[in-house]
Amino acid sequence: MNSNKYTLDRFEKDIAVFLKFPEEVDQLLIDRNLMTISLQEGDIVEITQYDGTYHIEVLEAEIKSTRERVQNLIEQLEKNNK
Amino acid sequence: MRYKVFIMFTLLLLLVGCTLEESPKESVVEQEEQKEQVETTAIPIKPSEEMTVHFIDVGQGDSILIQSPKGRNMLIDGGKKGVGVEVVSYLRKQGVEKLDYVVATHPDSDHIGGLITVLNSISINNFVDSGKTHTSQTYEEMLQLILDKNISYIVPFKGDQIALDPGLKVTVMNAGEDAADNNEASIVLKVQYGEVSFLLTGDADTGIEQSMLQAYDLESTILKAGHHGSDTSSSEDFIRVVNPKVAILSYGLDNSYGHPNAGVVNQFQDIGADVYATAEVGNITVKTNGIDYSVTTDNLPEENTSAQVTSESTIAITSKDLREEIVGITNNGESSINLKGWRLVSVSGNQTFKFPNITLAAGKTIYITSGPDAAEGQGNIKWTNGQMWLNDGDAARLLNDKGEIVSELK
Repeated sequence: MNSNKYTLDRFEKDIAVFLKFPEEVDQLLIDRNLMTISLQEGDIVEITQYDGTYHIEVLEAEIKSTRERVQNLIEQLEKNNK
Repeated sequence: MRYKVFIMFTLLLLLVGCTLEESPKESVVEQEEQKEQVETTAIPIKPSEEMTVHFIDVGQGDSILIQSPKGRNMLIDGGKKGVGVEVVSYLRKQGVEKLDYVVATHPDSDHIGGLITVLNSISINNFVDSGKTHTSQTYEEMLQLILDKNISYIVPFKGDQIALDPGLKVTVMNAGEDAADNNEASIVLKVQYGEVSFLLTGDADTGIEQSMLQAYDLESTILKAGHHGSDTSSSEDFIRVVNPKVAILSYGLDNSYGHPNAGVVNQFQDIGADVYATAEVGNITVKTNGIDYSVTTDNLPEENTSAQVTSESTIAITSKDLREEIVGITNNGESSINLKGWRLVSVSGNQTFKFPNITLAAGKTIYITSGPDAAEGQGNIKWTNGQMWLNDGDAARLLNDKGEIVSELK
């Protein structure tokens, strides 16, 4: 059993492109039709591989805290430009 | 690095002798209220001042460097994370020590990944972001670096002008306001230099193309096809209106997404555009003085190196006079053949003639003519009054309506 954290970067039609945390150099591609849950771009997930299938768990708290950090950065950048 | 010049078109010689006027404005981005069509009127230029646009081969992704007539530099996207070092190396080879603008068209990792290394390696004055946020580590790291390095951070609006160089008009034709997904947020730029223009569309999809058609003059000399040549971009209406002379496709060989879409590539060929793909020819460089332009690539296009006849046919190229610009095509068979959709290609000149709905009777020859004295009628079909064949050697290649090579005369 192999488990890692990923961020869903984007969909390329039916292919979900996940970036492996934290370097985000490696990617994991999963056919959207094989996923049992509905995801959105930007979702942070834990993906576990066993028996040739993917178990995907959405990390809600992680998504929320990352969004807050990103929003905080944008506010600081906008403030610096004023 | 070995470059070979493939094509050089002469466009309109209308603006010779005009004076370049310095823009009095120093503002970073000039915002325009968008109510009606935004004009992209040609700016008077000195023909000796050259600008260069590099479509950098970053595999599956986008990265474009603009070097303006006044020597200012804009980098649009940086490919995926693993290629940042290659992008920086390419920039340094071009003598880029400072980037006046970096544009992250949208936060997909195949567009912003390489920008992390760029931010860590090269001085940047202004960073233009789509405004569409992401939770990737790459996006967060990008914002943190912009902040740490005290780089001016700009989220543009549709219709804004970017003051890269007083000789250029750089118009934002789409930005991330109200975008439902990353691709919709793509910053689209039209860069106009005299009579030559570049339309750089990021991954903007057909919906965005449709909305831009309503608002802007999109006709452009060179188009960077949206979303790596996917059919999520490049609608028929859009291609017809943009009417590019050159279409650039930026994608990686054997990518997992099926880019580019064959139908999209065919559409570009059908309107007579010259198609260049980074996966086939490597880095692609377009130089222009605002009147003429030339396209150079690292490698020869694959079709130029593989001249094998791929389909048997009774139709063959039987004569070729490069000076008089007359190519004879004969039907050696016993029945008539309709040539609609067939193409005659000047291999070195990289020009294509598409046959109209015409039937060639058995045993007959037709002549495709070009040049200032091109004849028409009585067995001649006029291609154009332009010179299509290189006099010092240019193979003629005939392709049928399926794109198969049926004859070649070297």
